[in-house]
Parts: sequence; structure tokens; C-alpha cells
Amino acid sequence: MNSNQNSSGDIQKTNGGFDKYSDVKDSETIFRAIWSRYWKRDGKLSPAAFKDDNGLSVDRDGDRTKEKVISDFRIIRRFQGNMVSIGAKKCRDIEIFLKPNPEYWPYHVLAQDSENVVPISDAKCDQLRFTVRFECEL
Amino acid sequence: MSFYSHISKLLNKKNPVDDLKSLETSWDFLNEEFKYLSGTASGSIFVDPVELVKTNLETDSDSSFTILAKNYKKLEDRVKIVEERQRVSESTQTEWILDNKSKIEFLENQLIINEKVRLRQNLSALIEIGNLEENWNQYGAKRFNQNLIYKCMNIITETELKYQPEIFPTGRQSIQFEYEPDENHYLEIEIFDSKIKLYKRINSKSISEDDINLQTAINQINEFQSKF
Repeated sequence: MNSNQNSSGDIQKTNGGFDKYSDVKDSETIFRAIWSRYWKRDGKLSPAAFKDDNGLSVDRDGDRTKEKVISDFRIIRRFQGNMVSIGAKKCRDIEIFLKPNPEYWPYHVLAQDSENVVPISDAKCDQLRFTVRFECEL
Repeated sequence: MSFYSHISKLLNKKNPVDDLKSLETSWDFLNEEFKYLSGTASGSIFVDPVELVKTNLETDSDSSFTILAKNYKKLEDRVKIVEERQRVSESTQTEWILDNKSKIEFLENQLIINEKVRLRQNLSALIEIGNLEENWNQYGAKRFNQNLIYKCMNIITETELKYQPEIFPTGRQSIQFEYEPDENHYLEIEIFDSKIKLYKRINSKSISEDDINLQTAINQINEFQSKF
């Protein structure tokens, strides 16, 4: 199955030509809503924010503008807290594997430790918190 | 040693302690001289030497008694200077010692107060974590087992833990204790229902341990944080 096909072999494209099953491009940006209590007294982000045994749920931009992503986070996803972002290339630089998972949301991606290991290691969570960028309050 | 050589030696001395010792000797010597001279001059050994000096300075400027009196005055002034210097030196030392002692006490008290404040904050944080609803992180995180909350409360209140952590919940039903004194030093102890994990980074070197016991975790925290 190529990256433009889903499990039934159909080519899946959203409006504007975005293929929700395609690999995340290095040029894409990844977003996540973070509980505001994850920021420490000194302003640093806690790595605890990225620990999830089911993989870290994130949104890819999928050819959306940042404004559209923020709007989707607020209106469709109804997220609260703060939004952070990271370039897909930077994610890969710290060896985080990005696995598209669009079944329930076309832009949903699972960030994993590797293709076969789902939870991101403690060391990578520690690196990740210094690499993400604060975007806005949701 | 003659009285004059005592004085000349005394006036050339630099060390205040030596000066004082020397002065005591000179002072005794001088007083003996005075007793003798007073007795000779006035017929009584009970005359106040200072008054005697004043009287003789006014009346007889050429006698050996006048010379002795002038030297006595010089010595008296010198004694005052040395005593003052000694007093200042002792009081400065005392003030310095007291100052440092009080500073240490103040800092120790401050540390205890800070730790107490953090303990209260951490208890509140654990209560808040214990009350988090299903999907609290908006990505499907489950509620926390209350036994884990009690376990963490016990760790921060009833053990040998010397330093209060910053506490965070994770999306995998664990609670994380974090210590980060600076950019290059970071320690986290992740507490699960059935195990404790450790991750430590010092400069760029990191160490992970997947399953440690509580005592090891506390020892690691105390050792790590005591350096800061």
C-alpha cells in the first residue's frame, strides 16, 4: 500500500489535496494542546506532558494555515490550555517517529519512540520539551 | 629594661596584641615609677598620677619629672589608641561571627519555610491530581488510582525525603516528581502503582532505571539535590 492509499486501497484526499494517510512531511508542523499546569515555576515545560503509553497524540498541519489549526483546536476539537508546536523535521532529529492515524480526525498523528515502540522514552520527552514552541493559549 | 626604652619600643610596635602585652608591662613599670615619683614629689604615694602630671606640666617644664610625665601622657594616649584598636578588632570579629551565625540560621530557617510551603503546594497538587476527571488531558487520560495519590502523599510527608519536588501527572496514570536546579541538571522519579522509574540527566549524560525501590529513589533525590 502506498502512502496515498488507505487500508481499502482508496486514495484518500481532503479538500485542497491533502492526503491524510501520507507520511508527515519534514516541512509540516506538529501541534499539541498542553494542560497549562505542565509549566513549572521557572517557566520550563515538564516532560510529563509528553508521556503516554498509547503514543503522543498530535495534529499535523496538513496544509492548513496556523490560524486554521488554532481555530480547529478551539472550535472543532474544543481543546483548552496552551498549544505548542514543533517542526516535523525537528521531531525526527530527536528520533521521534510520526505515524499518521487519521481514522477519527484527518490530521491526527501518533508521535512514537520508534516505528515499533510506542511510548516515547524519558530521554526523548526531556529533549522534546526544550524543542517545542509555545504557540498560544487556547 | 628602663622605662624609656619600654616606651620607645612600645611606640615602634605594630601588632596590637604585642602592643597590649608590652603596654601592660610598661604600664606596671610606669605606675611603679609614678608611685615612687609621686611619693617623692608630694610626700604621698596615693596621689593621682594624672593630676600629678597636670600639676607638674604646669609648674616645672624642665625637670626629669616633666619628661617622665610627658612620656606618661604619650603612653596613656598610646594605650587608648591600642585599646581602641583592640576593641574595634574584637567587636568586628564578634560582629562577623554573630553576623554569619545569624545569616546561617536565617538561611536554614528560610530553607525550612520554603520546604514547608512546597510541601503544602505539593499536597494541594496531589489532591488536585486525585480529583482529575476522565480525559483530563483532553487526549483520553484516565482518572488516577487513589492509592497512587496516597502513596505519593506518604512519600512527600512521611519519609526521609529532604527536598520537595515539583509534581506532575502523566497521561499514563503515573505521577512524576521533578527536580531541576539548573539547565544541566534534571532528575525525575516517576511513580506508578506498582513500580518507580528514574531518569536523570547531568549535562548531556542521561541515565534511566526502569524499576527502583522507594528507598533508592529517596536516596537518589537527596544525593542529587543536596549539591545545590
